[in-house]
Amino acid sequence: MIMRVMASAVLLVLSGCGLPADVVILLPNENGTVGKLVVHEGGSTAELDKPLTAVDAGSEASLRNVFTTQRPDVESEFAGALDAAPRAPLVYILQFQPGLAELDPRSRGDLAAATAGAKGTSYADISVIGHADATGTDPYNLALSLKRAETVRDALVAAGVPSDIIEITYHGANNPLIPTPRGVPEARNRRVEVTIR
Amino acid sequence: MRCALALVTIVCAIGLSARAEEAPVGFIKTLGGTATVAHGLIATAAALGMPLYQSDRLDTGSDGELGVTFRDNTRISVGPNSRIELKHFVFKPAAAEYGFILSLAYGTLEYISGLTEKLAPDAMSIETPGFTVGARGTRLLVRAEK
Repeated sequence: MIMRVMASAVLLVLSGCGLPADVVILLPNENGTVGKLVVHEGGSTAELDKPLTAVDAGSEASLRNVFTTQRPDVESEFAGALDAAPRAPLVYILQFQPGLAELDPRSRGDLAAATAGAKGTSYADISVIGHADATGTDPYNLALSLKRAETVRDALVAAGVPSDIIEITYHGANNPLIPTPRGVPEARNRRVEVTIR
Repeated sequence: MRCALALVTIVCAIGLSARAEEAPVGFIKTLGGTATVAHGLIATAAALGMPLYQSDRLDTGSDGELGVTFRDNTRISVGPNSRIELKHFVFKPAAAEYGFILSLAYGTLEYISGLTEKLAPDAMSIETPGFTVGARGTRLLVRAEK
């Protein structure tokens, strides 16, 4: 009986303590994958790679204290930060006809979705990034990738998205989705990426 | 005296033009309670949609919380009684130049990785007065005691 009372007292104290004052916790990503993190303090390091594991970062010595957190503790002690997390940016990839700043008709649906995403996001900032495949010269590809980005920007603006929240950049053939040798056409690289944050 | 005034004018003009050309590193996307943004010596109340610049400092009151999405799609949010500085931010994929250092003086922080971490894992870190965190494709929470 006394043992049981002591055991529950210990449990009570432990749960009452909650998380350490200085703490780092690894959370699973929104898509369910789990990354990893490293904590450095003095000359010591601690590595976490399992969801909901944490380390007491109060001192170099406490870095050895890697433990698994309880979801309710995390949710109550980090309630504000968790509640304020912005939603994930929306990303759309629109494909273009070879050598032209005209949308591939198959990407019309994605342009409509991007437009709806832009109009449905409060306080959005939008980046529109134009790309070309590896056919054509560098100056030609740069100019083409800019024209493609402008085509998308103009379509968004025509649909009622304010132009001052759209930022345009263009990379020519320098950032292919699918790397190819120079001169090789690749439909997936003839694209404009729209990110709505 | 006249010289000094002229100098002040020039310095101010340079300061202003640098500001005007500098691109925001991110925007405030969520906000609750009391929060302020300090640009250099000027502190203003945080507002939804407000642009943020390198070296800006964010402070939340006892009821405050706010979230920021950066130009590289990294997201952070802080809870009440927190102070964070956007210490260093470079995101130039065309030139392959990256840098992202957050400094959490105290309080609570959620961090959700973006493109910088994907493209240049060593360019990203979160500093606190006692320890430093490096992340690899993850979502994490940090609390640093005041």
